[in-house]
Amino acid sequence: MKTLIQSLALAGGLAAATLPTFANDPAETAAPAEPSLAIAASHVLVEGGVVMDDGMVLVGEGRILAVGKTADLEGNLPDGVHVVRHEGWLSAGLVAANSTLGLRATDDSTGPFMSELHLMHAFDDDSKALEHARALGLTSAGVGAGRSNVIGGVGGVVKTDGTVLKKSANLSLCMTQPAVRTNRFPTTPGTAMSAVRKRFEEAGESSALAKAKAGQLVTSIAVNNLADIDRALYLTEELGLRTVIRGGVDHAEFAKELAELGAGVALSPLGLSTNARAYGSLEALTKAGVPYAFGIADGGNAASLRESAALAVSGGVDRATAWNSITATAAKLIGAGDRVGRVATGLDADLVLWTGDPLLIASSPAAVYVGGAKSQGDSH
Amino acid sequence: MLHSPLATLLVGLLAVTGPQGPDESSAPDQPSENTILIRAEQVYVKPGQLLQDTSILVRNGLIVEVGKDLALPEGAREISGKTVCAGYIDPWSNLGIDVASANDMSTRPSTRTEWAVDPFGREHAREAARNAGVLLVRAQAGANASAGGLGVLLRAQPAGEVVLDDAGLQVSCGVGGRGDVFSRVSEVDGLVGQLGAGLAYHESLREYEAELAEWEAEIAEVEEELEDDFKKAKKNREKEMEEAEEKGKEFKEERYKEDRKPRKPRLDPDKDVFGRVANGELPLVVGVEGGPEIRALLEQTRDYSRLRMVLRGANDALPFAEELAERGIPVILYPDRTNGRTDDPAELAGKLAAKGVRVLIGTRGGTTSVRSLPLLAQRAMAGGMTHEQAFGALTLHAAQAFDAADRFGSVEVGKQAELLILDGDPVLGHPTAVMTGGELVVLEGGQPAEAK
Repeated sequence: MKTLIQSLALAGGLAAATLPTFANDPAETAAPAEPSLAIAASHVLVEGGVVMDDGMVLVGEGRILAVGKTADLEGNLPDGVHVVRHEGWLSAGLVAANSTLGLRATDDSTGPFMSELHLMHAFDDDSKALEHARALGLTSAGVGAGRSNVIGGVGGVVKTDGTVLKKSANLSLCMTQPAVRTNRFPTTPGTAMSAVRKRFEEAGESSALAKAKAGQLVTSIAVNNLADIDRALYLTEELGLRTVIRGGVDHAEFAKELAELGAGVALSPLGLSTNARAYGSLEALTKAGVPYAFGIADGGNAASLRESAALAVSGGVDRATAWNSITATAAKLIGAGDRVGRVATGLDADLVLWTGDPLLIASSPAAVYVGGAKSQGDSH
Repeated sequence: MLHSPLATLLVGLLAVTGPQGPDESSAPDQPSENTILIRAEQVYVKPGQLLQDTSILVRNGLIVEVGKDLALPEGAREISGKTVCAGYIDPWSNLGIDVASANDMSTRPSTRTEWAVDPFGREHAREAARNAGVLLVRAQAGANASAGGLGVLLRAQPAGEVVLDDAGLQVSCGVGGRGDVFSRVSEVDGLVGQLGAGLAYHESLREYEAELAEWEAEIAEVEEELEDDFKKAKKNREKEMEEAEEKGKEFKEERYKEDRKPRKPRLDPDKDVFGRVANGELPLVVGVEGGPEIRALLEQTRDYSRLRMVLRGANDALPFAEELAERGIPVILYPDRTNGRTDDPAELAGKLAAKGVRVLIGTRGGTTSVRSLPLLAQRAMAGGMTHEQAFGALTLHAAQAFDAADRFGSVEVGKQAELLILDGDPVLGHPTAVMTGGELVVLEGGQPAEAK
């Protein structure tokens, strides 16, 4: 659990304003580290979903120090390095574009506009949900509000070992159902939209809304239908937000606008009953160059995250885009692309050993490393 | 079979009038339009048996030869592929039957799902299922009713082709959040009571038959006796009647014990079905979820030595894995996702299979999900089932559970040619062509190719 004093610093907003990321900057700690762990695997999924056969990853001080062919690296290993050899696949840990992992509460019921609510105050670093996600290969996730409030509050980025990567990273908006409902103001999407705009206009300099406007926070806008996406894009353009559209189907309709505004899409997981139209939408987003990733805030778990990518591949999406949608692109959308989501030198050693190709549903995690430490609780 | 009279008529007509009608009487070496030779790099005959570079000769929908270097009979069609295996079977489905019947809660043990077969509905879902390799499904009316009745095994395509009309009796005990733990367990009590009543009913039928035979023999004997002294007996009787009249008394006809014909037990189709199940003639599929119900079910059915149960759902089956394995009770699971708070059914599949329980995988019906059967098997593999176990669940083991393994579930001579030709592994690959009901459908990108 975080101490109250840490929370207090955040709630004041000042600390958050001056230090948008609480985690260490990789550049600061990049003192020459000695590898303490070397993992060799038959196949390594490196950046962009490229498969390197017989690869090795060197890990030291929680970071990836080198990636290369086992034959090239193993000859120069210093003494005392723990070497793990895995007959199977090695990849970066999975990243969820959104989630409510570890949150004891996701929605405050006191009012529809909770812009100064910091959800990380409700983060429980010891939660079972984190352990379960980690066992399934998920190592990092964006954490944010549910859909009950129009302005849901400020969320962060966490790792599934309980580490908080960023305490304030995103602002959740939902200008449609279920936040918009008949028993309280605002009762229609239109009034919700005007109320949100008014609050953005009147926001004080150090407020979360101002930070969202300045691009310091990602604005996650939950949608259900095309009209919701339309409103979200209007707001994005008008206020200059860094928007990630959350949920919805048929984004293809707005692929061009999404690309022009530099907005991303955090999709709900694909399922067994996902229809051809949804796959068509993925194709259009890919073609338009809109970054999209899968999230689990609206249902599903780490297994459904990986399954979504596998289904996307069988639905016609290229392997690299599909793989990135649960790793590198997701990391980018939550604002942690410099730390997680790829097997690359300098990034955190969040690694998963798989029994087979992780883009096959039938594969499962054999071991999970977060920050170079093998996690407990992983199954198989 | 519902459609058999018409189908037989049509086939008959075709055979007579059609220029290329199959000639059943033709010698085996005389090919016909219905002969297809499939050449494959790998043939997964059944779980644990793999043949390399093998050909399969199919005639009129039956596998007639499996071997290396089979010659192409004249006029036969030839198709080749990477891998061939038996078509997938979905043991927990409602595809091919009327949706309202599937959800009916008022079905009885004697309800026949066959009556609910709907050859016209959900064409798209049936085609998608076939294209994904799911060639046979076990459908059940009253899927969550306390007694759903007799299930059917039918083809996804052609529509409505029932291949087995009594694929087990299905009952369920407290599924779908029905009742508290006491009422769920009492549903098990009720079920076991019905098994007992079914046995008693069959016993009374057998007793009746024995008594009837005995009675008929006795009657025959008496009749013979009477025939010999017929005149004497008639005279005696007339005399007695006269005497009675004279004395003003009522004449009493002599009663023979043989006059009382044994009474036939009242027809009870429900008890009849339970009797067949208790005698092991039909498998009993029990929809059950919670631990207390599973425990009660296993405890109370131990004395029914011929009973062949299949559990369906069974989320809490793990503590009973040993007994399930020992008694050879298969479990049909739907490897759904979980929220992380309850046991993952995919992992349950892996753990049960590891303990020797025969795990089957079903899609739980639904319009769109039957095509997902292979994906569910892949989930079960991610949960720890071996490739062989998952492949078995998709094919032979499902056929065995419902007494259909004599015709389906493996690639062997004499079996029906319900076959998949895949681009790779039989669990992980995709069908490039399927053969079902004697028809070959070539697929491209998961869809039927243009007629060639």
